[in-house]
Amino acid sequence: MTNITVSDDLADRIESRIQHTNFDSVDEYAEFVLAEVVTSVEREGDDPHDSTASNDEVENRLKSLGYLEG
Amino acid sequence: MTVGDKPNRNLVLVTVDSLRADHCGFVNSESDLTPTIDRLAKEGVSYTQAVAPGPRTPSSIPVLFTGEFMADDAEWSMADWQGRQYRIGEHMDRFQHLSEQLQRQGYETAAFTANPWTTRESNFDRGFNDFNEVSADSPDIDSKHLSDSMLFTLADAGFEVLPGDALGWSSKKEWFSQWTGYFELVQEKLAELSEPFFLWIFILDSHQPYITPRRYREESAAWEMYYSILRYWHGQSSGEKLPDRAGELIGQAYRDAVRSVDGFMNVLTEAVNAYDPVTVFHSDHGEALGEHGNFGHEQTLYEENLRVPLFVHNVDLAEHVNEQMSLQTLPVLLSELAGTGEFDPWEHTEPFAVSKTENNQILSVRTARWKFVADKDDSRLYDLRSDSGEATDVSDTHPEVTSSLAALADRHKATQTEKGHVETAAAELLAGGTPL
Repeated sequence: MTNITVSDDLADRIESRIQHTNFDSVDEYAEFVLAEVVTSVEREGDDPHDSTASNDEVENRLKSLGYLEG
Repeated sequence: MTVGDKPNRNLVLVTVDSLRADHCGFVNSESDLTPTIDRLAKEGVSYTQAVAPGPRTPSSIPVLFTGEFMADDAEWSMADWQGRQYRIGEHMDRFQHLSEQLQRQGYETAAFTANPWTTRESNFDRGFNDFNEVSADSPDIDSKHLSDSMLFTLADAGFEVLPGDALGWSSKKEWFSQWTGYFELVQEKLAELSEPFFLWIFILDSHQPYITPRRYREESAAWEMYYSILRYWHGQSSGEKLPDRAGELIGQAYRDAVRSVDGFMNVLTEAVNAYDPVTVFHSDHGEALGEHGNFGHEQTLYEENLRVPLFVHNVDLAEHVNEQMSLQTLPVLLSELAGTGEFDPWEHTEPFAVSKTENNQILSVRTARWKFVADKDDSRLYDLRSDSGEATDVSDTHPEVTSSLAALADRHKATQTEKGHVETAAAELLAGGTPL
């Protein structure tokens, strides 16, 4: 675990945002925000996958397994 | 890589599609279908009140792989499979996967997944050094490994119309992905992996249609198994109520499929024994067998859909945990096990568990005794202790319980809303090119 210090003012603003949520602490909220941003940064520039299956093939699989209506 | 002076433990995660908790003997002592699963559960830490975060793969696996529920999508529609797949991909892109976490901890990671929602297209391959989609159209494996069924072999050989195939089996290659077909590939991969390794295997054998190799069928003759599949399919497409006899045959076929899953665990345990891994076993959701008028896994949050088996094997602990545990905590659990394999079996149990259908239209908050279920227009409260079939809404007679659980549901929604704001802000930050 690594500690990061934030100002009292920022901590108060976070406290106010999380009071009706399941975030139990300023730490938990800050961890979530940083993870969201860092993951986005890490993903930036990733190449989207080349599709390995045709749309018809995927649709047939999903339909056959009951995931699509009709 | 080590923690202290102990090497990191190898990890095997077994995900079984649609396996009901009450068909496993360690959860329901009246069931004798799963002797191997029960033995492994008894030797390790077993959970009798494990709950899935959703009743179908698209609402369950993305959550238990990331520890986060999915955001609402205003454009979502059941008929738009590409939109549904895209939404899963977005979620899997947004959050770190348990596989990425383990890879960062020094694990070599490999996956075999037979479920069509957990593919490269939906970004499930992130964090895996080796990723194998198990399907007739997969680029990863030769289709001869999908099944040893004669029907499949003929269909795969290109017979457009099989002799006597008035029902069109030859066009149902995608129904065949039994573990017995591709298990040798899992064994080959095991021999190649460097340690510590993380191996995820997602088998489809107890997903309908319940096609089970002959050696594991104790109740269904082949014709009964195939007949039950066709009756089920006819009922699904026509909306007709299934005759009672067809329902019984479906139950038989399902039980045989569960026996096959147990056979898989027997063979897998032998195969991985030399690597001394910690094995985590669970299903992604349950399965209805006629309860509430349903077969399969519909968009409902009843116990038959949400209760799942879960155990952790080979951790120098033998505990039977009867407290509630949500599969949403799996990433944290696996991260803890990735060290020395030591963990506190009760640490992640929780009195309240949230589950939601795909795109969050229906939400439930479950406790050991109560379940509060809310959709856009309505809410209900079930007393699971006196009404295990969830037939009677008791919200009027227990208003204090209803309001408490409704408040928790609101809290969950407020949390998701706040997380949505964070997502938007992060996207704007990156779009603006602002460096960290």
